Amino acid sequence: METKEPKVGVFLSDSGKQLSNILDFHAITNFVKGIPGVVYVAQGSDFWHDRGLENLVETVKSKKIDRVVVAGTTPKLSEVKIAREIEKAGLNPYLMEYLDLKDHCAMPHRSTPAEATEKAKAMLAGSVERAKLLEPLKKLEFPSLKSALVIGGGIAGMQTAIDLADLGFQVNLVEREPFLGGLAARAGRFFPTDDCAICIQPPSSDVKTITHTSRKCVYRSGFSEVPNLAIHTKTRVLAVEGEPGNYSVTIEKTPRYIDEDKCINCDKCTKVCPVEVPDEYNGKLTKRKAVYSNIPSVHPPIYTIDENSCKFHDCARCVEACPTGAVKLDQKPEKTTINVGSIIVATGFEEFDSSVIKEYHYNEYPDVITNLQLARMIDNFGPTKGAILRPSNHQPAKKIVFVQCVGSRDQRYKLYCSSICCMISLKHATIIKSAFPDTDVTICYIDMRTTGREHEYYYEKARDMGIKFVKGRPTEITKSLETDKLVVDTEAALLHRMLQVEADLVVIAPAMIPAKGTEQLAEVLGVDLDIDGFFKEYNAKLRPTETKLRGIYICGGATFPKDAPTTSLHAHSAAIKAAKFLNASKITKDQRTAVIDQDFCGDCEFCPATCPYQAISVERKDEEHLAAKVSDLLCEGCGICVGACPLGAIELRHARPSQMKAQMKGLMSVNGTSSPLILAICCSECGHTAVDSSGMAMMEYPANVRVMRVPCTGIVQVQQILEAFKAGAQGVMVVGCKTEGCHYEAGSEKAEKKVDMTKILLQEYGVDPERLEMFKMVFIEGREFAEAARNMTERLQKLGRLNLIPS
Amino acid sequence: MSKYALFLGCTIPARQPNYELSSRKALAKLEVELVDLPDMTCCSPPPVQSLDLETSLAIASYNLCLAEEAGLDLLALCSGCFESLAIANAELKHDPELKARINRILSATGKQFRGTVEIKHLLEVLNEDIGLKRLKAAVSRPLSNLKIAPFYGCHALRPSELLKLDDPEQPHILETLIEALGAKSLEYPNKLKCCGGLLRGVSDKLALELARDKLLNASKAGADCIATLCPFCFVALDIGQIQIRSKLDETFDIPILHYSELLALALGVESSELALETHKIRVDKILDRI
Repeated sequence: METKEPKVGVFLSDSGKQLSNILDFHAITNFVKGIPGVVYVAQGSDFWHDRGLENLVETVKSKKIDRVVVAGTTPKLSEVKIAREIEKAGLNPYLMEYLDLKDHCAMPHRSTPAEATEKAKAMLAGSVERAKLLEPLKKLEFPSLKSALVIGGGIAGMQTAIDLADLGFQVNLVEREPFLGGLAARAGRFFPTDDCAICIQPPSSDVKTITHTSRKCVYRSGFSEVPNLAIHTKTRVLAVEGEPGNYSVTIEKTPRYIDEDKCINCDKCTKVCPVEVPDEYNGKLTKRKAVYSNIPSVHPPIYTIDENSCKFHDCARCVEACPTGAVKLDQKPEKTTINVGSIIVATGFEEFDSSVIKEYHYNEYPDVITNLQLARMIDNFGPTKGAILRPSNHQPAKKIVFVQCVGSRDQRYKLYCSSICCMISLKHATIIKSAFPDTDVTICYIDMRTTGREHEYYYEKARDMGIKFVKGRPTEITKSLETDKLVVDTEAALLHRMLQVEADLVVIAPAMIPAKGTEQLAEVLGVDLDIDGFFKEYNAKLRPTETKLRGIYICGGATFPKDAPTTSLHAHSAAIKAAKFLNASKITKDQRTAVIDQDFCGDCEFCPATCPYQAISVERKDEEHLAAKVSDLLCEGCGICVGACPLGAIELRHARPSQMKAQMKGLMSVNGTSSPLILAICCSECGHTAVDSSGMAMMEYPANVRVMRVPCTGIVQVQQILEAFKAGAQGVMVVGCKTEGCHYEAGSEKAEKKVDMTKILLQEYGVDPERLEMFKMVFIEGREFAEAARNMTERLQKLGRLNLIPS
Repeated sequence: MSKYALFLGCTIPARQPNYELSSRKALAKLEVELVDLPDMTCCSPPPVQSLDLETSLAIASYNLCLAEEAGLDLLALCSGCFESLAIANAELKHDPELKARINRILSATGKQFRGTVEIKHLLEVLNEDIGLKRLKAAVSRPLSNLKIAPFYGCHALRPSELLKLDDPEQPHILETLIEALGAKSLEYPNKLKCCGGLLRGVSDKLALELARDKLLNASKAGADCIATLCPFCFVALDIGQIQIRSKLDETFDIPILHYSELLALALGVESSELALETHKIRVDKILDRI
């Protein structure tokens, strides 16, 4: 720690005399000069660009100033710029304290200039006291691998893998099925282009065919020939260890029982195989052999043996039939460990099991099928070679009824709209109507949701083609007594009556749910799922393909059902996020992190669970004691652990309790005519910006409300609130983000609990708990902040003066 | 020998002695003792619930208190009574605050709900208490010539999470019990759809159309008769056929029998003891075939 007395330079900006109309800069300057440690005070128009900034930097150098306090006007931006410049001048950029005299003081208190000036003095006193205790922080570097693991070989995974491989990353693509393509390969065609599902943008390493416009079928794309892309089919992720930039992943490959280098795709093994089982790939509408390949254009073009149905050595006819000796019935599962810098999850989604909706008799009536099964029928490679046949008798289906929202938008099953099913049904209905114009097609819907670009044209086209639309959710699908047809019993809301629609084939549009195994994978990776069970992004707007853990990304249908264009967009986004993170082969980060004082750490093991980023681990110190340890790489510097540690053993290097206490005392040190003093502890994310916006919008509130910035309200400790009262606050406001919008996941929620707990304590101490309150707001809620500040003042005026020591 | 307090409600004593007689006689054959408790009151069906829920629960639970005092589970014949009483019983049992409020109301009558008895449906008693094996053994006049369309109505099955009689979308209990009498149980479209009973007087046309659809589907399926559980379904389909004849100009002649009547006949109770003349659609052709 510093031994010599710090030299503080204070730079007061009057914003082109704008502020000096309200604040008495003469008095403020004299006041600041009197604070011990302050060696220099300057007043100027501004200090964040041009001459002002040059002057500041020169003064820092010439006066040997080692703590800079800038009272500026335009926060955030200028803070960054000044920090960068003083760093160039040789001072550690974290030895600067910034406060906003305009929007946090002059503007909101313009009607009471005397009180505003008092508050400005207090703000400066707080910032100077805090600045004196600031520590220089280091820049840290962590070596990282320029490699990635992509989990899932559907269109999202393939597209991400290609992007990263093109950028020079070593990529491992893991797919649990024997073939790539995922759900998309089974879907046949995509809307709104009616494009093939297996068409992808080829890797740039495909020198023979690549042009800016080229699109390629997966099997012709050269995908498997990319030198820095390894494809692992029939493979699962078992365990993940390590840190961002350096993960060690254990994967297990189930044997194909076919030598991948020898198979020549001749189909002789399938011809002799005596085992027939329902073909999952084709929605069980047909059968396949135990040794099989899906469709002629499948990728990789290597046969596989289904270990659940093959009789292996009891039969072994395929071994004899194979002309190249590629069948290897004795292959064993292989576990391997791969080292990667980041992990991208692209595990997709699947259809909800509609058989639980008994009134629709799916899986019971063979002529009730799902959209995915219908897609297999429409596919020329599918079980019916493109004909639309009734599974019960293989006769053409002349009357088809689609039933939307099966399991979606249904309180009994999935509350959400699966978002793509309306378009899937429209796509299928129009394809069928084009190929077989005399087919009678009806779509029963709750609402047709065609919100994407060109999607409404599909709907329009479908109506023009004579496809019928019935607004209503069918109550039941029954079997007619006279004929072999099905009858869809439905409300027709626009006709105000019930309808019974006869059908040869009923196609249901099931809800789309997370792929099987999503929960286990989330557990292995340590990332969260949302309320519907999909992988949860860190922030829907800003970080749609990032998880809360650096280094782990998500994309495509694994995050929510998506159409092909959106999936592709998502995949590119995940790739660029991963590349941005690892491109330099090192991760650079400053040491705004938590640190544990081992002398105080009390073996309690509470802190690891409180960290949203898994940055704290507990290690054995000796036989009897444990020691918590913070990873500088994983720590995001929020301070939630600080607020959680029962022994006060954890501190943030950039917001130590001693620094906050010093600032708090300063803020409460000048009151003059301002009363009752209120300390507003605001998080640096939404809480502090709400204060900004109240000032920017010229809202007014009393100058007795003094604001202290903390990284996240999660850092607030019970004793810190008590300290505030001791320092002279008559009331305390804790202002954080909205619970759902907390930038550090759980901080504002934990702060709220701590506020509730402190209220109980205050009651015990004979202090009215109404003197403390938690608020949650976002930047644009400046009005709400001003209102809260006014209400709190009024409330405290009614409560009267707080006397901690009864007179 | 099992013993239940019998809850008759209002419609059965007033309009359907056939339901009461057949149930009493059939259950006597199966050695089930029915106890008539004095002072039973209204079950508080949905129309009463919609006026004031807590008052309605107090009225329903008054009946439960009587059964508790007698130490007997309560057998409700009417599906509406079964539903109302079972809901009241379930809600009071799992909501202590609600129970306390209802008991404050009940205290004026000197009663307190304790939650010690169960409400049983006739089908539950037969299926669980008697058991299919004993029931089949007791059948002396198998209905093997009859094809019967089972009809549940709504109140016996829903709300399913409280009543727990059977799966509300794919129930089997009635079919199983019909087959136990030696008859064939038929599948037909819209088996679970509304009978129209409660729409009578509100929208007569819709009520009759719903009943008509049901009769049509059952007759197309080849039903000799429809087996009902609820007095309202019985009215909708039995008297309903007379009204369909005059209002919709369509003629059906499908006897409607409560399951209890079929049960009594199969167990050997004489048809003359069952007040079958209360049926508007004559059941002679059924009797001829057994």
